[in-house]
Amino acid sequence: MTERNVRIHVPALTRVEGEGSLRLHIAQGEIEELALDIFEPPRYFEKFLEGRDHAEVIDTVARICGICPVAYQMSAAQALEHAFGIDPGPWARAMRRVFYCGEWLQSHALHIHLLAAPDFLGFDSVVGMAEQYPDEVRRGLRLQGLGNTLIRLLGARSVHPVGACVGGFHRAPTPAEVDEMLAALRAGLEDAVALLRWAASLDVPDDHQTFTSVSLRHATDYPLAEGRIVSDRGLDIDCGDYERHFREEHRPQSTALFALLDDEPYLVGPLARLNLNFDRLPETTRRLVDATGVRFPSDNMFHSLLARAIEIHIAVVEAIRLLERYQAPDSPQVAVSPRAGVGIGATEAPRGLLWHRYAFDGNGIVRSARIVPPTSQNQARIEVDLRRSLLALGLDRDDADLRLRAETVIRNYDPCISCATHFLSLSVERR
Amino acid sequence: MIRVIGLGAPFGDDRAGWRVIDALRDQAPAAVDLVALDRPGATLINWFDGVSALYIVDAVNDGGPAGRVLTLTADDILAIPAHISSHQLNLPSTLRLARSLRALPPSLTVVGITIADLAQSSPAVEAGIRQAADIVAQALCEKIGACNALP
Repeated sequence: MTERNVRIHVPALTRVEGEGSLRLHIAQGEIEELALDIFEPPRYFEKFLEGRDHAEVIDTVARICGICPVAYQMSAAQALEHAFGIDPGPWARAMRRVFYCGEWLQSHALHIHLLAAPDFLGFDSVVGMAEQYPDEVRRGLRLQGLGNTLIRLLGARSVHPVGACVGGFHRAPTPAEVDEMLAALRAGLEDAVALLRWAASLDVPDDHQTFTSVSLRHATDYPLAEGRIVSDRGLDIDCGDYERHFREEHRPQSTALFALLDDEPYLVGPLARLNLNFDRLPETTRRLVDATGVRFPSDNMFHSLLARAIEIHIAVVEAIRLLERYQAPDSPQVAVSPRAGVGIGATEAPRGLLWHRYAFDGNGIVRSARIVPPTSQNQARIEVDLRRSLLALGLDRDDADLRLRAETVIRNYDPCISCATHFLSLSVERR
Repeated sequence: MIRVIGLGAPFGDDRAGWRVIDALRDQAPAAVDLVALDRPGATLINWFDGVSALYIVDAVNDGGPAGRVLTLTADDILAIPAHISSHQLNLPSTLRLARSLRALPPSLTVVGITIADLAQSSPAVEAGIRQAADIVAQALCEKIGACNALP
């Protein structure tokens, strides 16, 4: 290996949500410094919520992310209902799964086609990729549009939807609206099947590594809006016990927190979900995955794109299943009576586990809030993966190759940096 | 098919594109398809299929006087530099993607209205909305030859 001194600084990562950068310093053939810097201004949502009425929480947290507002709303709704001792009932539970399917569809379709796939096909952006793969890109745009339509069915609009509330939804779709949605979903199923097969055929690096997968696990179904927190190292806890096993720490280069499980990095997101819940796939999805020849659980992080494509198929199949049995309810929400207490909620955002805890006083006013988004949980894992992947690629590769592989590794996690940033306690050492 | 798409968001002046669509419901020939979209990002391209002439009306934040109406061609928009952030593709990036997909309609006009305030509607922008609706209605009637639909 040529021994040389390499400094790579990617000042603004492209094709990720939000603003971050990467610093890599190689000296004498060794990685001297490697850091994913997150410098997007900190978000103060947890503090914004203090002193606000419980009824404001769901629409406020939706503003944390333009891509996954449903996830924030669903974790918050679950936490508030937990605090107030409310069961939203089977209709709201089923519709929350449908609502969430819409978000997975639009978010995963956006990431696969606009952000990730160009890396694996040798293009610097989707604009270049579209000239050679127009049918694939058009298919992705149709699936993204289908997801947006599904979010609108229950949320009234697809960007920062306003349909969800504590206890259920503000409005129930009419049977005619549901029939129209079902027709669109059935028409989209062919696209979802074709996407899954195409994603499995992509030539991704054959790079195996050891990591801990963490996700929700539901009693009977693929996890979306509720479940226990499990890992492939034997963890199996109620989401109320999260803080006993997971902790977050500040690191100076980042306004996001680094989350650790028993002091070790871990993975959340589509690949972790699939690794832990392959036996919960709908039968039609499982048969399609079996036919690809790719086996799960997988220890190749680059199977994340395929995992997203598989989850797009799950979302379409699951939304059809739930809407086919749709019946308009007497009321789309149950009554809410606030009380003092603490509530915890955890759901599966497109990028992984999203955990919320709120404390309320007797008038239903927020006294404290804690939100742990998936990207801060993946951040430590991303740095481990970067180090590992660059060593596997070979540090003697030229700068352009190293930079592309590093960016590919980061984008593979679909990091949402805007969601992940928190207020940072900073200690400054001066000499 | 001839289609007019009003782009917008439910905040103050950013509704300008939607307001033009509302105004055109009384002014445009019946054969024209009128659509109001809420921040569609790249999925805007899904609305280009089968369209021979497309008008896109959107709010612009260009530092110019509020209410100014700009009429731009596809080439004007395609010349705007790419935007780094990727929560959504912006309009120039979306049109570049559509060009790569060979999905751009044969005729494309973008009508922009310079806005001032995202918290409330500005009087100057109201005038711009009326002017933009008149410009699009006039262009439609010339294209279709159905000017009797105009007031």
